[in-house]
Amino acid sequence: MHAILLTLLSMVAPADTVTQLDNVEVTATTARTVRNTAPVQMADRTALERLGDAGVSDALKHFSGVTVNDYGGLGGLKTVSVRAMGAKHTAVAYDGVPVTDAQSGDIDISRFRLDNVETLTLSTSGSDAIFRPARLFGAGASLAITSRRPQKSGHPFSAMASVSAGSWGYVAPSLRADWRIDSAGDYTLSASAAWLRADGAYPFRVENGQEPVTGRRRNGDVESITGEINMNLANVSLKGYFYDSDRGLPGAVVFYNSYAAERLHDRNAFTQAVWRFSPAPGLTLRAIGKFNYSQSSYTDRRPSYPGGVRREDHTQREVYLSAGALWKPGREWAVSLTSDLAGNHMRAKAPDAAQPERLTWQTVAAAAFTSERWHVSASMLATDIHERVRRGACAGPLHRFSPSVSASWRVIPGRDLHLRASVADGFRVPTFADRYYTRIGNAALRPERAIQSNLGITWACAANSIGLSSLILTADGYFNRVKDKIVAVPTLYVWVMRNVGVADIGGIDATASAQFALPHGISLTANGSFSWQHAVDVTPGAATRGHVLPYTAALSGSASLSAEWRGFSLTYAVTAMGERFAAYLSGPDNRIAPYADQSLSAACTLPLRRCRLSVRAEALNLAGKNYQVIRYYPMPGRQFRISTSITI
Amino acid sequence: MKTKFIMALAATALLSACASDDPKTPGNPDVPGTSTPTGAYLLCAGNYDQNNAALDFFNPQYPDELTTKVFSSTNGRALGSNANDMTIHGKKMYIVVSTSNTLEITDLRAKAIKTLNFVNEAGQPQEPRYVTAAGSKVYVSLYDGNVAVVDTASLTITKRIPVGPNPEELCVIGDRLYVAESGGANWEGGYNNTVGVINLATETRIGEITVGTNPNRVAADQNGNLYVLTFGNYFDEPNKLTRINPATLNDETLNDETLATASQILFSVGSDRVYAYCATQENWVVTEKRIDTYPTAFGNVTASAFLTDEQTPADVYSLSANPADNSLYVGSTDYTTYGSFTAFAADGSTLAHHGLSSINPQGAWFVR
Repeated sequence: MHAILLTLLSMVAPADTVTQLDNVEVTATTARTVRNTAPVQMADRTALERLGDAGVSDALKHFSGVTVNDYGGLGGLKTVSVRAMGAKHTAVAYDGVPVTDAQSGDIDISRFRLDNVETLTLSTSGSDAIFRPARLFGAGASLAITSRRPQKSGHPFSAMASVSAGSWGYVAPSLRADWRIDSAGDYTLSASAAWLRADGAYPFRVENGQEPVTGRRRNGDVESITGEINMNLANVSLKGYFYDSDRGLPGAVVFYNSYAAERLHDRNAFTQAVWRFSPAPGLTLRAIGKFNYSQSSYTDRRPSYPGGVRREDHTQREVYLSAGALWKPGREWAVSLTSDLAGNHMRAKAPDAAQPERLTWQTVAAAAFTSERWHVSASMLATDIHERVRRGACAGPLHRFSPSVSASWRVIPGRDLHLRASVADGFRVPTFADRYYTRIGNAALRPERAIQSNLGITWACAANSIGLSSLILTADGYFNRVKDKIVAVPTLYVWVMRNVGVADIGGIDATASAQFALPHGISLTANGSFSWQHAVDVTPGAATRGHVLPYTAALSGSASLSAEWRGFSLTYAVTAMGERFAAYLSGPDNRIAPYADQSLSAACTLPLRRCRLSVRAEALNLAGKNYQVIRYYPMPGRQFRISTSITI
Repeated sequence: MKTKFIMALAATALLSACASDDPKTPGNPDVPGTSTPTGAYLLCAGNYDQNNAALDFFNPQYPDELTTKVFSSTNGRALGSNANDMTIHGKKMYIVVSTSNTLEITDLRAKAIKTLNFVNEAGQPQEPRYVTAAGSKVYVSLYDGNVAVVDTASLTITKRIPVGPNPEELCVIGDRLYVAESGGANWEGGYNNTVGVINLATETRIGEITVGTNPNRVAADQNGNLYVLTFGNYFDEPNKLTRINPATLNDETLNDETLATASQILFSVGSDRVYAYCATQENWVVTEKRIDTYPTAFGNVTASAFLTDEQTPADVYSLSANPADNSLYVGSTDYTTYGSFTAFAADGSTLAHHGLSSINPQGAWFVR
């Protein structure tokens, strides 16, 4: 594996380039990407702006090893799966606080608007960020989203209004106001609100022998509203968040029957507070509190349901508390201890619902050692979970320890060439739906385990003669084993959730990013990612043993090229995925064709009296093909969007 | 019925059929398309929402061969999503494709003649489930609580007869049509427990027979006995197979008898015997299975062993007896890869075993 990685690296970086390097100066982002002991991928505000008015999910498609499960449509559910472990292994944190859904375990990232995001950071397990909430440690991967913060300089008050409009009735206006209360920017207040609507009735074509199915997607409309208030008061950050989304679920394209009437209405409100305090040099304390309320109503209208309608209502409440301390006795050592307590409560409007409640206590002790050449971190997470139900069988208590160890080593002193290795034992707890969904749920389910190991090489260099202002290359080989996979297993007439599967996933993720400073003030940014993976079922005795896991592409990748000159920028981006199979057996019956999704965007920012005006025009999915990510869920074809924003 | 959760599972848990080798094209003269076929059509439901229902053909005279995907190769288009049932009547075949909401009417070589859709006045799909035929009429149960009457000459829907909730299988005895009224979409309300009785002359529901919880399958034997399989509540109430004396079908007090009670039951009626698959399940795993036969005489509930635990194929999904020779076709599925079937002679010896071209075999239908 090692040899392969080095070969791969030498192919893209000729050996003589390495010798030319001066002392490297890299940004904080670069440092995190290159020096981390486990793969970390980041996109900051500048990078996100290059990608345009797309959603968080579109930005994540440019990360390596990531599969965004996309059921099509403009408001469709989107979840993130990293290295074929399944989306439920990906934890999501918003401004440092975990976002959870105890019922489904899936975090729909379509709700996060990119124009309100400052950075996206995706780390796989074993990352050396030792001072995080305990809850994020057990996850196979974690996606950290940080929201935009007020500028540290300029006018104390600023405001932005923007509107974006595009194909198929897409309209998305948003407003934002920031107020810097003190001159240092330690006290700030900001508020934002956004509304989005789309018909989603885009034309599609799905092959069916000699009679392709064509038409427009039905029931794909969406309307959502998001509001957020952030307050920073020196050591304390407070957030209030509100989200309301009503959308149709267009469903799979079923031949000869275009009826679709499923709808999902989600409401979510939370408030969170983060307090950070340094009582002594080298010591940092942090406390987090969050209260989350969410409600989801699913309805489907069919004449076969009693009364012609099927309705499922779930209400969830969560109280989350976290307290931690980070101590850095010197330059080299850092130790942390963090303890999280979460109470989850779900109520379903069904006569025989289990009405589960869960108490989770997680504590993580972690240590990191940093020297000129070494960076080593280790953590041990202890998890204790107790559940109780009003009706039916209840899961027993869960106690488990999840260790992780990781290290990176600077190969040549003074140069940013690093080797890294990590091993982590992660898991995901069965969701309330897995355990208690009427008749299908199984209270006896154990957590699904994901044991990950990673071996990688990273390299960064700055300014050299050919106009290259920075270059970062990373390549990682990994092996994951997912055990006790939670799978819906059918019996003759009903389905039930069971721990049956074992899967081995091996692969290589590589990324490259380069920035060039060309004459005449032109700057060029190029990013690329490439992934190869082999995810195979190894369940003993199963008919599927030895077969590639459904929906795992052997090859995938992305590239983007952006040119900027004064206030103008032009970006071309492409994401591509090789063939996949919708079921365990590879063959024409289950094959999903490869695709490449290209987009082009042009933007300019102009000063306009005391304001700044930005205009952006985008063409998405240039080839216009209704490719499928999930089988029989055709993606939208070519679409256009224009957005303007004015900032004062 | 399927809940949102199952739909999500079907879409994301990716349970599905699997691809195999190229479709076989045996050069025997009795396959469809070359002459009038004799043999068995095997119908696979496919996965939920995956448009992979399939129709295969097997001729017992050529036990080593199977013609796969007859419908799609004959018609240049897929059969659709969730083919649930079919019937062969006269010179035509009537295939019910539930999720696609169609009744595909074909000739005996599976060449499509007409496709019927079932929608109510509001334009909503009525979800056809099972089909049976008698005389010049074909009867299709619609999950919204109707039985559609299709004329075999005009091939149009001539009437929709309102019946009990969520009707499933139907069968004809004399001038009566019996339909299992499952209430399957009302699991929270405890299902339903009736078999609806329809007068074929007036095409109206004239009464009902009270049976166990969640009746799904009904069939008649040559003596006019009515068999009813109730699925219970899939939880603490097991599957139950009962037989109702035809002499008392129209009486106030029914004369019925229980043939079998088990975690899983499937049955099929041959010429002089009834085959029943019974399985015991513990913690969702089948621990014991067998196939028995029962005589078709009312009053005799003695089971005779047909296949033992070891002889019974794994993951049995459907049972189809050929009344012509009492051979038995047993369909199996592991729900993730292709289905298969094993044909047994009336004496229990194995005739053939084949992998099918899709998942979830619903049964075999015989062309004579």
